[in-house]
Amino acid sequence: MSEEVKKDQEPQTEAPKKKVAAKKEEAPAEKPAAKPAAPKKPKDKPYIDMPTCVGCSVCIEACPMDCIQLSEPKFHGDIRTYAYLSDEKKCIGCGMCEKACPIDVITMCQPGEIPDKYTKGETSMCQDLFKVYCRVFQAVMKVGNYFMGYRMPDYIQGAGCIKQLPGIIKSKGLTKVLVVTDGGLLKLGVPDGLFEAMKEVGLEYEVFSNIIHNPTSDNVEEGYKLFRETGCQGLIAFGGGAPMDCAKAIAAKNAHPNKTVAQMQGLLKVHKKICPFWAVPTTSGTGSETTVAAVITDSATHHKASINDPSILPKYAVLDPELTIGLPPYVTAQTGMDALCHAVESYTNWTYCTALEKDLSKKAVRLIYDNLLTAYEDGKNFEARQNMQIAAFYAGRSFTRGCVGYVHAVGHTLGGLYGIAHGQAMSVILPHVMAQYGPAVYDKLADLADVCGMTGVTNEEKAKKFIAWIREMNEKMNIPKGFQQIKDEDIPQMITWAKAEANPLYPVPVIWGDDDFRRLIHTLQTAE
Amino acid sequence: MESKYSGYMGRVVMYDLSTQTLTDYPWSDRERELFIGGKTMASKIMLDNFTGQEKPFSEENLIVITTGPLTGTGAPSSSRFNISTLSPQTLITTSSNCGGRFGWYLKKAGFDALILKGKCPEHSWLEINNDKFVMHNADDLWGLKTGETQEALQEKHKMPNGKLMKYGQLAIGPAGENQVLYASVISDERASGRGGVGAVFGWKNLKAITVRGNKTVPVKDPEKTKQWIIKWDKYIKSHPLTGNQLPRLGTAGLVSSMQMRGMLSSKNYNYGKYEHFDKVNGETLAEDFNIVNKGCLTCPMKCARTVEVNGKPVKGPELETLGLLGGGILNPNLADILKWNYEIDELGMDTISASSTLAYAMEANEKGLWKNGLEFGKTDNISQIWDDVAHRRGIGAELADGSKRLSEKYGGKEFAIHSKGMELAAYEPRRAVGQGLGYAVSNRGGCHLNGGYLVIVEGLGLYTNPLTHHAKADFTMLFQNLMETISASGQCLFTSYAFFPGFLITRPNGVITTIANKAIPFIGGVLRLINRVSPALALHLPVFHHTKIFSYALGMPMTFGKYIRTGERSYNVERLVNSKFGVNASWDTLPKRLTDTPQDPNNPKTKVPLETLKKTYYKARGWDQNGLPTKHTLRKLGLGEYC
Amino acid sequence: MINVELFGLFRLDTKIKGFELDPSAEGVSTVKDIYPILLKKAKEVNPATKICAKDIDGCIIIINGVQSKKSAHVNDGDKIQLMSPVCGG
Repeated sequence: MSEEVKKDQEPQTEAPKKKVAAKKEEAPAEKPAAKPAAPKKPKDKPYIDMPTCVGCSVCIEACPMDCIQLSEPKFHGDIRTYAYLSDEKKCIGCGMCEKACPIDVITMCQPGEIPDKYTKGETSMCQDLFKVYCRVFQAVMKVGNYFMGYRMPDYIQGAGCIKQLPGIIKSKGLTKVLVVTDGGLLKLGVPDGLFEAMKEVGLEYEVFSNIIHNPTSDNVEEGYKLFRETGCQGLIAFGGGAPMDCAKAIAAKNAHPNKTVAQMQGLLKVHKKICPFWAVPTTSGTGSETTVAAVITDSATHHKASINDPSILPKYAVLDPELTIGLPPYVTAQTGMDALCHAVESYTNWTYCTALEKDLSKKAVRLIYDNLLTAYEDGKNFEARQNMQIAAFYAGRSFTRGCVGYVHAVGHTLGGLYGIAHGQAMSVILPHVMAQYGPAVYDKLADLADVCGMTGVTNEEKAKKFIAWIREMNEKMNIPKGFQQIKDEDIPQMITWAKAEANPLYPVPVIWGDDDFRRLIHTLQTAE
Repeated sequence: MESKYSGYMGRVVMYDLSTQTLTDYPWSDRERELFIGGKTMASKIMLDNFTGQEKPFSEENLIVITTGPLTGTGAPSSSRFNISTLSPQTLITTSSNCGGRFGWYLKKAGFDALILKGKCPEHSWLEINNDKFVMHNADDLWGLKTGETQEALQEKHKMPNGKLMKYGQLAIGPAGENQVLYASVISDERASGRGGVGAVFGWKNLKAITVRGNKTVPVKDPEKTKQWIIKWDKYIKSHPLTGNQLPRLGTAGLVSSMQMRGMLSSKNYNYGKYEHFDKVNGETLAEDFNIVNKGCLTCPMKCARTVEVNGKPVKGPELETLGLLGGGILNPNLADILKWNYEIDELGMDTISASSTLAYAMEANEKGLWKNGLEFGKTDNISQIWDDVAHRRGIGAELADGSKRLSEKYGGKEFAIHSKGMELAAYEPRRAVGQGLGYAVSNRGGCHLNGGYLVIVEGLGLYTNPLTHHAKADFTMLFQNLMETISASGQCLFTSYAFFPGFLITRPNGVITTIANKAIPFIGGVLRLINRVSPALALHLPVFHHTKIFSYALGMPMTFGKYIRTGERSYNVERLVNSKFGVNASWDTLPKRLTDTPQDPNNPKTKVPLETLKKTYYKARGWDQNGLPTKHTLRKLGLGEYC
Repeated sequence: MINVELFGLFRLDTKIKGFELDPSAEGVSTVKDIYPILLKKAKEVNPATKICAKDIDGCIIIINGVQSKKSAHVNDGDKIQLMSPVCGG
């Protein structure tokens, strides 16, 4: 079922599926059903704050169960060792370590939580001044956002609507386009329907598919060369985030042939009209069809950074759920959680969002809550696929103005250094960052919990339930809890890159310093 | 007496080993302000209790175990404690500092200090659990080496569920039991090595002490203390000496530098270099033998080595042991030194005195003064020698008395390398005359640290003219004063090395460093003034974090000037109590080899101009020509009652 | 030949104990001329090394037992020792 091109309106979703609990079989009338025992809360365990621990070993001395150890020195003479809970099972939760620690880096709490005192962000005179600078910057950006002209792309929606695209392109006067996609989709024949439709209407095309998970500056240069040398006039980005971002960067390069990709990375460095650009997402998703960002890895330095400019926001999008039916479960999971990450980060960020973006975030979260697991377990479920596509669209539009946060900043470094797929990075990192923000995000996460029908007495409780739900989703969809492959020697570089990307642009709930990033990365390294 | 200051537990006790009675020993806040704790507190206690007639091996001799107020607060490197007593080696008081966990647990039991007098009627070990003191028979422990003793103590400290209690411990080995004059006391892997404190334990039939408790050391301002600790820790870890050299090379890293400066004593201080130094230096130790570096509780520097001996990871040697058992006896085999270091620790002896006495014996044999079969470079019998010494067997019985007594018996006083009866520590002072002064005037005998450790400016860290006497006396006094207070507060002396701004170390050829090195001999007058008017220096130096921690953790106001003055007082208290036992200028000596024989026959300056240095030093200290504090000095230091 | 020996942390960092060089063949007339040769050797031993000239400047330079500077001249037969400052006790 296809529809007329919609301009700057929200796409229609399938009626939201209400989660209806299965009816319990009625117990025999004589015996009232026994109330299930409330799950026993696990014992508090020591949270030892790795970045601020000085390795004095006083806690090790105080522990009666010998379940705290000093980390292994990384080289002979390494003195930057720190205490850690080496045997959680042995720990009896006595709190002697917390009492003994002279610098208050140990606090007893529920396993997996980060006590509030370590979530306030690094404090020092320099850091406090820097935080003020960031907030002033963001306040100015907020005003500037009003002049940015964010919009929803014009779009067509519905099963099979991809076949209409060539006709629409031809009606704009174009005769040749470059289709940017990835080799995997080509092999699977996913774009074949588009190619046939283009042949039918006589629209010429070239295909550029030399793109990996995280497109590189070399990919962009190669794609642009093909675009220019074959006389293409427009671009179709067909696929997930990688072809989308690559195509956007090719469009930017086409607007500025003499600039390198690195020179266009950052804020507002394109500011020129690009060639006609259609975005056809086949994942749900990066939302890249609605965003002003294109994330490209520099081939020489492996630094992943974003071109951020409203100029590269696609003018048109094609939302055809049939294109996502064949997505393997793991891609469904990772891209779905990527969409969730967009919605959550945008919503929890400070000041940039207007009521529209907040509303879109909430809608996206609810759609993901209702549909992602279904889409993961039953890929052929049309409604789930369609709703996930819409969710990704909403979330993408939301973060276009609301921005992303440290989940993305750190995730990009993993993509650059270890080639970790963006969606996987987002899925894994999201719950850890939200937990580390602590009370700063309780209210907003509680709103999202409300949207999903989660209950709780306090906002803190609801927020923690929401984070627990994210972890649960990851577990159900076989997404790992952390990244043990992160090497210690890469951490300084990761922190430098993440800070450069996020501070001061991203209006994150808590502005982090080096120790805060170390805390997160340590959590990622050690999460099991 | 309870204290208004934090950091102190408020209780000092005296335990009579003869009658097994415990009494409280009065200790006021005024005394805490003047003497802080640690070795200074011990000296004051000995000053008030000794008449000068006491003998080391007597019931009247006290063993004074003191902690510092910073122990238990978490300050960097603050877990050190002190054992002081009348030394059987020097016959004057000695203080012996240690990084083991005993002091930490003594405070958890609720005590700032423990004074022992009397004598156990039988072989005993003392168990302290909070304020409960229980004496146990130690026949099953007597004869065991220190490691074995500590393992056996573990069995005695297991809870019904099999878990080991947490406690601190002291133990002597066979050397202490047999009253080897330089027997040590071991705490975990660390040693109260010098001065023969272990022999006093042994004479008193005290094999071991364990202590545990559940009290908390109070901290005045936990938040400010925490921030200061974090800041100080970062500073220490980023300093080239404390954060790079000490962890990666340990004190062993000095061997090559000493060789280059001619300060590496070899063949019993006949020479200042050793041709095979590269086989027994810190680099070889790091590259081929070190397993991991370890640290005392709360220490960020983690300078201790761990090596493998007989397939077991054990504590590795410090610089002095490497020097004295390497070039000192012409042994180029590092593996032997590692083995001997372990054996000596296990037997419970001071590695420095043991090695230096051995070297004396080798030279005496070589010169035909004493036929003992010991030869430089002959190393196949040395393990047996240590065992014989510890058990006073054969020539071991003679070696057990140290080089001073041996030289009095056999001759060769000029090459019995000791001062006041305690052997010197491998740094050859004829190429670092300021260190030579320090050795001679050190209160406990031939100690390089108590002597001011001037080698750090005479060629190892900085490199001012090592042969001039100018300014050396004043520098010695300043460094001694600072280090006294560091020790008294419970911290490790190595924290003071970060006093030298990092760029002076990382830019040895830089303009400022060059100027500083050239200027040092000319600033004696300035240092004299600083020492004289120290209380006026009511400031804190950014390179010296030790002062602010006093106000934050203890609530005791402290400035850089007051810190120096407190150290000066400490040094004088020690001098006072030793003067009761006859110490004066005639005791501040070095063997003639170091004062009369140039190390380089072509350079007459390569010997220690001790008399010149002493003269200046006494003046700087405010002592008379006899090397004793004047009344004016004592009054200035608040010690007027001892005039 | 000139004999160059490394000690202290500098030796641990470069993983070089020492080496010989022919001053005339290598164009070495001062200590500073040895720097590129030493850095090249350090790179050969450990391609990932971050040792640079600044680290050599951080060493005490001793030529034939006498402390010197990097501008000091060196001759055939000289022994040069590079040593990091140390402390202990």
